[in-house]
Amino acid sequence: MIIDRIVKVLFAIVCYSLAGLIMVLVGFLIFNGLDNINWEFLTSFPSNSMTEGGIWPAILGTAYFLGIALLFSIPVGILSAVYLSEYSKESRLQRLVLTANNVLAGIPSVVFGLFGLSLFSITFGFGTSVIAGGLTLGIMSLPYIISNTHESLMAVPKSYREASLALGANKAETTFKIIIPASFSRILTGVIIAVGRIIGETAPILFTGAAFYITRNPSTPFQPAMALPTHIFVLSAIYPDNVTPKLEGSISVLLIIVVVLFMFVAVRRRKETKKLEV
Amino acid sequence: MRRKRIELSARLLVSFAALLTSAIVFGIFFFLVSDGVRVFGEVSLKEFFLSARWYPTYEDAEFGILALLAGTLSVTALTLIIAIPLGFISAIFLSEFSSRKTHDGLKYVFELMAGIPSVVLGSFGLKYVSRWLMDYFPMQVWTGLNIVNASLMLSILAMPYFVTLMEDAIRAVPVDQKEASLALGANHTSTIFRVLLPQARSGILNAVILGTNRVIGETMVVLMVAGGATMIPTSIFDPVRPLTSAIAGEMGEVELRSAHYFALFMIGVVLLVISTVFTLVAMRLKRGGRK
Amino acid sequence: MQDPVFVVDNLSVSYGSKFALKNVTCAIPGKKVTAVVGPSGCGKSTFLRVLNRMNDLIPSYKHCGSVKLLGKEILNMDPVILRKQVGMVFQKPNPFPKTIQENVTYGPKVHGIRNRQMLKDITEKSLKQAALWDEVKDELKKNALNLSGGQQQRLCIARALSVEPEVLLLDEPTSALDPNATQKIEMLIEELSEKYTIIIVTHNLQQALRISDYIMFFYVGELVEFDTTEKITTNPSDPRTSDYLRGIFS
Repeated sequence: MIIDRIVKVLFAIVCYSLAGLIMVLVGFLIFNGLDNINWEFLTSFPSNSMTEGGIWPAILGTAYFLGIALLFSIPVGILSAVYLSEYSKESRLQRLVLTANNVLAGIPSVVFGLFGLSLFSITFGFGTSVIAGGLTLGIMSLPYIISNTHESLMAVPKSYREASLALGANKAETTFKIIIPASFSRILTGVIIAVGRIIGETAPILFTGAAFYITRNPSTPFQPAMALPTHIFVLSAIYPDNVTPKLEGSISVLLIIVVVLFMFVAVRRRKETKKLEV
Repeated sequence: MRRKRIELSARLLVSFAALLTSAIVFGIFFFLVSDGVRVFGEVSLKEFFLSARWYPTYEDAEFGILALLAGTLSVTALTLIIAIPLGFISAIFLSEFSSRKTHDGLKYVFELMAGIPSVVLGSFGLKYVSRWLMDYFPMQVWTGLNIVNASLMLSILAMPYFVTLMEDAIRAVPVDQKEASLALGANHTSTIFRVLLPQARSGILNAVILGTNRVIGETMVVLMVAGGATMIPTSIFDPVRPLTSAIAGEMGEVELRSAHYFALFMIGVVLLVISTVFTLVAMRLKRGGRK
Repeated sequence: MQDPVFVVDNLSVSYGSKFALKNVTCAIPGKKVTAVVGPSGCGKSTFLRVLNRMNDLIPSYKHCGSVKLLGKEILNMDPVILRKQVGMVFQKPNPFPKTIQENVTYGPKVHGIRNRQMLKDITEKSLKQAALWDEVKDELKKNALNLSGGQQQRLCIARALSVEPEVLLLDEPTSALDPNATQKIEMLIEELSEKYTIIIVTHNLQQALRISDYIMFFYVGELVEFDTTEKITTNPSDPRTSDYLRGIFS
C-alpha cells in the first residue's frame, strides 16, 4: 500500500535524523577534546587557574563518590528488591514500598542535594565531604537498582523456586542460592546502568561533597573531593574562555566513559537475549 | 536450628532494607518541610506563591516564587512541544516499521541519549547553542541563554523517555489485535492509528507523565543555559530562572539557617510535591488501565 | 468439482531453514466447505495463512510456487488488497475493545464507506449472517468484550463478513469454545457455505467429518490427500490418511 510506504519513509526520516543528530553531537564532543587528553592530563592536578594541568583529582573524586554510593545502594537496593519479589505478597506494605521506590525515582536531583545537605552535611555533621556526597548519590541511585533487580528476580521462572522448596530448602536458601545467582547477570547489568546514570550527576554532590578546587586528594571520606561533572560545570560557568581545552578534554573523558559503559550494557543485553532464544 | 536462624535473619534483613527505602522517602519530606516551612516566618503564604518578586539578597528581602514557577512552566512547555511529537513518531517507527537490526541500533542510540550527562548538555548549550541563537535570530534574541536554548537541550534529555516508554506501550498491545485488523484488509497505517495506538493510550500517557516529571526536575541544564533572570517571560527568547536553577544557583552562597536558606528549601518542597503528585498519578493510571 | 477458487501450484514454505510446506499442489472448490486436517505441526495453519498472506508478518518466512485466487496470482499481490477478498477468523476470538457496532463497521470504514445508513445496513446484514443479530440487536453499543466466548467468535465472523470477502478462512474457530457454542458455529458454517467459500483448519476430526464437503489431509508439510469427504472417509487412497482417520496419530 502506498500510504504505508509514505508513512514509513517519513517516520524513518524523523527517527534517523534524531539518532544521527545525537551521534554527531556525542561524536563532536568526544573528538573535540581528544587531543587534550594525554597521560599528564589524566594524572595531574589542575593549576594556574585551571588553564593548565589535568583532572586527576576529579577522576579520583568521581570514583570515590561512586564507590560510596554503590556501597550503600547495592546492598539496600538488592535486599529491598528481594523483599518485593520473594518476601512479600500483594499487601499494603508491599504497595507502600513500591510507591516509595517510584516516588524516589521521580524526585529531582537538586532535591536530593537539599536532603543530603540537611541530613548528612548538617544533622550528621559530615560537612562537605565525600561521604555526604556519596551517600546522597547512593540514595539517588537506589530506585534504579531496586527496579532493575526486582524485574530481574521476577523474570526467573517460578519453577526454580518450586523445585528448590520441594527439595526442602527454605526461602532464604532458595533466594540466595538459586534465584539470585540465576538472575545475577541481569542484576549486574542493572548496576552498570545505574553507574552510567549517576556518574554524570552534578546537583546531588554540588553542595554536599564536591569542591571546586583542592590541592590534594582527600585522605579520609570526611573531606571534600572534586568530581568530573562538577569540574565541567566549574570550567563552563566560572572560568569561561581561557580554559576551553581543559573543558573539552574533561567532557571527552566523561562522555567516553559513558559511551563505553552503555556499549558494555548493550553487548551484555544482546548476549542475554541470545541465551533466551536457544 | 542454624538454618532456621539464617531464614529468620534473612527475613529481617530484607524487611529492614525495604523499610529503610520507605523511611528515606518520608525522611526527605520531613527534612525538607521542616526547614522549608520556616520561611513563612518571614513571608506570608500568599506572597510566597503569588508574588513574582524574588529578591532574596536585598536588605528588605522578598521571596515570591511566581516568576520562578513561570520559568519552570515555560521551559517545560516548550520542551514537551518539541520532544513529545518527535518521540512519538520515533516510537511508532521503532515498534512498527523497523527491522530487528535497525531497531536495536537505533535503540542503542536513544539509550545513549538518555545517558548524556546534563552538565555536558548545559556546557554545549552555553558555548555553542547560545551563539547560534544570537547569530540566527538577531532580532528577537538579546541573550543566547534563554528558554529556547534550555528547551532544545532538555529535549535531548527527555526524548529517550518518550521514545522508550511509548514504544513499550505500543508493543504491549496484543498481537491478535493487529492480526484482526490486517485480516480485514486494513493497511498497516490504519492498523497502527485505529487499533494499536488507541489501545496503547494508557501507556503513552504514562510516558508523557514520567517524561514531563523528568523535565520539571532537571537542574544543571537550566542552571547553565536558561538565563537566570527572575522574570515572567513574554517571549520564548527571554531568559528565565526555573525553580531548580534557583536552588542550585543560590545554595552555594546562602547563609545557613537564614530566611533565604529556608526559602530555597521551600522551593525544594514545591518540587518534591510536584514530582510526587506526578508519580502517584502515573501509578494510579497504570493500575486503572490494567483491568 | 465446480470452478476452483484457489489454484495452488507447487507451493513450498519455510521459516528460516525449516521447511513447513513442501510442493503443495491442489485446487480448492468454490462455495464449499473444505476442511484442512492433520496431526499437530503438519503445516495446516501455515497453509491457511498463505492464502491471506498473514505469514508475511513473520520475518523469517519465505515462500515459492504459485497460488492463484480466481485466476490472479496472490503471492506477489499487495496483501492489503488480497485480505479484503479473503477474510480470516482466528482460533482465539479477538474482537476489538470497542462496541459491537464499531467492531463490525471497522472493516467497511477502513475501505472507505462513510454513509451512516449504509454502515447500519452492513452491521445488520453481517450480524444476521453470523446468527448473532437477534441476541445483540438492542445492545449494539455494548462493549464487545462483555459477550460470551461463543458470541465473541460469532462477532468476529460477522466482522470478517462485513467487508464481503469471497473466501472465509477459519483457523480452528471452535477450539477455544464450549460444545454448545461450537455447535452453533458449525451450523453457521453450513449456512455460510451457500454464499462463501469456506476453508477451515481443525484438529477435531469429528468436526471435519460433520461439516465439510472436501478434506485436505496434511502430514509433515506435505499434502497427502485431497478429496471429497465421502471418498476420504469410505475409501482413502493413502495409508497415512487411513491411519489418521483411525486415530493412530492426532
